[in-house]
Amino acid sequence: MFTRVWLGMILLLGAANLNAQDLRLDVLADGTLVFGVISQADGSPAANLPVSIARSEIPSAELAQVQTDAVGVFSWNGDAETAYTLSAGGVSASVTTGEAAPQPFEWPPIYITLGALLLLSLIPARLLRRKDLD
Amino acid sequence: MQATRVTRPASLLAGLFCLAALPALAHDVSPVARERMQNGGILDYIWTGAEHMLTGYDHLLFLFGVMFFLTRFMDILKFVTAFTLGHTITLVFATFAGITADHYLIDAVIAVTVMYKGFENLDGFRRWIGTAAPPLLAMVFSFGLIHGFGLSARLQDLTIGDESGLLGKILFFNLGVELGQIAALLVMGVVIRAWQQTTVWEPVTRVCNGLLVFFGFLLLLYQLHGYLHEQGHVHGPATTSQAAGVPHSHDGGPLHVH
Repeated sequence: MFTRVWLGMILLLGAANLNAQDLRLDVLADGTLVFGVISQADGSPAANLPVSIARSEIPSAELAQVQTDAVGVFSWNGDAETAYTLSAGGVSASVTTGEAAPQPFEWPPIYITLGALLLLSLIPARLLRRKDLD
Repeated sequence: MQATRVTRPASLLAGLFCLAALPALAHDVSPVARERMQNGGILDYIWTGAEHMLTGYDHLLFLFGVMFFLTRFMDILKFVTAFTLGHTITLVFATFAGITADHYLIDAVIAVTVMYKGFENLDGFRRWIGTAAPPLLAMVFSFGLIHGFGLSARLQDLTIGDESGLLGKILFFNLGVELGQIAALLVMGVVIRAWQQTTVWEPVTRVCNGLLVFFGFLLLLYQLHGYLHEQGHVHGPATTSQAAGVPHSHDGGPLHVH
């Protein structure tokens, strides 16, 4: 009896491991965007599968969890230049995000511009200052 | 003749530039400001008031006109106090009592006050009408009342009339308006004072006050144009989608529904 229970447990663990090995996790990063696809061994998508995301330095602390869509694709926005470990269904992969996209130039509010122009006009005002006031 | 040929296109370009920039002169209520006033704290109310003053070019142009010939600190204090009292009275009471009017029409009247100040600074009453200008202090106070009514109409766009804590919001918004006004006056005061001491002050006064009248007139046209759009008088009958209450704009104008 005892031996059969042990045998059953070993077979179950083996099945889980086999299942994990059947999944394929491909992950890429574009800037701060982490995205990837999970597929079965036969190439069919692993749909609605939870994907756990953690920093590679602390893999035990889950940062976020996302789910694959109907075609096995997931995406997540991380921090720039950070290594992440992603795990799903017993398989894991690591990726390092790239540099953050440069912020588009934003002109300061118009009142700052007008104020600066007014203050800049002090330069010609100084040059044109009446001599009798010096 | 040569000078005329060069100047005309330049003037035309300048005029077109001003016309194109007109929508930027309107200080409509932004969704961010609306969100701040509805869900923000005291600092948000103050910041919204200050921002409204600093982006309210009609208020700033009028203050610029008021400051133009003032040289003594006590005079500046007297006129700015009159303007502040005026706009505080209408801002607080009209908002608290829920009194408002079409903001295009109020802003059109405010544009007239800008034109008035430029005209008065050009000594227009004596030179072209042959009469003395009305007492300036009383006029500044009266115009302050009108500007306050405009501020109130905008504030009422941001807040819901019967919400709790309305008085506090009004007072903090007004405090922000005053802080924005002080910031603007400090810059204007320093710059005007510097130019008053130059050899070209006389032509500068003519150009600046002429521009004050010009921009006041453009603002007046812009606000009347907006009012006519709002009333549906410009582009004929509304289309089905417009009539169904879908927000839309004409020619890049402000969003509205018919």
